[in-house]
Amino acid sequence: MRGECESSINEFLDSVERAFSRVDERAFWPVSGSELFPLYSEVQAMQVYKGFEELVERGVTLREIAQLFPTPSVMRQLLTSTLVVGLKVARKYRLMNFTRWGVEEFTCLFLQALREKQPRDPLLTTGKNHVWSEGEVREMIAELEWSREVRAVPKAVVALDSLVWALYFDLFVANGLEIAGPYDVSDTFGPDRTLLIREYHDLAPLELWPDLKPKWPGKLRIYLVYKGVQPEVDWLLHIRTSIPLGAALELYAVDPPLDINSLREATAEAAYRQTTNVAAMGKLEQLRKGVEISYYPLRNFFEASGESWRTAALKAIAGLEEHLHLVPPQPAKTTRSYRSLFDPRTETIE
Amino acid sequence: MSMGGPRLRGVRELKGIAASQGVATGKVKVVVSPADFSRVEEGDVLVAKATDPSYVLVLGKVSAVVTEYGGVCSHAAIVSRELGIPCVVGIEGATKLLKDGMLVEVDGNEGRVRILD
Repeated sequence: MRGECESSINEFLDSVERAFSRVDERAFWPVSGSELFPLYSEVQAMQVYKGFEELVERGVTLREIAQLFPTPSVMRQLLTSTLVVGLKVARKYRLMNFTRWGVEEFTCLFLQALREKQPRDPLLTTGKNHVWSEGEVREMIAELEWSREVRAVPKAVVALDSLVWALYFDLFVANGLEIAGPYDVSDTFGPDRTLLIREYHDLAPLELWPDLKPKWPGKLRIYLVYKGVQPEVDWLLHIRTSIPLGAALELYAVDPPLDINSLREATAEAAYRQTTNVAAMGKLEQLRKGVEISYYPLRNFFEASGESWRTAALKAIAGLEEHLHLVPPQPAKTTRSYRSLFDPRTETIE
Repeated sequence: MSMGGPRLRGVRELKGIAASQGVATGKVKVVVSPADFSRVEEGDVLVAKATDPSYVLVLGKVSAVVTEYGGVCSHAAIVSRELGIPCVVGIEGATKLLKDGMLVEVDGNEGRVRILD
């Protein structure tokens, strides 16, 4: 078990290092991880630890706990936003008694829960995010209405992604988007064809943004078939390709079926409006909102473990304001040793 | 004589990080805030410190993107790869060195911006 845990942590760190080595935090909008996470990570991490403890004591299985998270990427996002570093902070400053699991052991337990959520390469070591099995995908694609009129599709994808960034900030993209794939669909669409599925699973978070007035569906999927390109999906849901994706797109389908141009117009306009609204907030308000956004996808987890997500978030926000009196927000960093930062076996916390 | 900011004295080429492949030529349009969006025309080369989600309104009509900050995972890079246009990031001082109307070639394969006039 110990060896399994070690190897699981090492795979996790390999995957994280690959994705984070390409990040320049200065470009994060509207706040960076260096600015936000140190203000509340230990609070959120301890709440999640205690929530796990509560659920496990009640006999809830890891598989059932994993189902409380909306997608595998939300679990991955939690690991590298607050969970591991926050628990290391709690350990270093003795903020909690780690009675049931140590930080290393809890990290392994969480990785095991992630494996229950996504049994196929949950740490994305192969560049494939197979949220669904190949069999499930074959069934999905057989029922779709496919179109070769792809000209407007890249702009629509950019508009939808921009809306996700605007609603959830760059740090919490997984709250609204899951990118599944690549899947080899040569059998269905011809040689060298690859499928990516962009699942926009929450485009209308009215609990976060009550004034949003969405003119688009809250959930939709876009299925994209590319020719001659081998994309890889990394830990941060970034797609790596040798050539730009736009040039290789051959077919697409939207579920539910929608006019792609109307969808693009509505979401581009909303992304613009939402970005300007957030930009008009003061820094403190952006930081508070960032905390709230980070709790939002943990709603079911917190409810199941006996606390409302809003109450949990308010505790973190209160702590954030106290923290800001003592230490001003840290500027975005250009480089960091992410491997050491996210390794539960080290003491590195920044 | 102005003392502030970088100057383009004898420099014909700027080097950054190749973030989206392809080569495109166009006129520079420096965008510092959404108030500049209305000045961006079809085929322009967008030059910014960094982009944010509001840039969705103009990124669909430019021929290439150049930014000062960001790696290959920044908005500008992700969006450019999706749209299939070249993008070079990480050219410090680009918004000062490049001026509106300059004709440039953006080489997203090599991470270079060449000034053509």
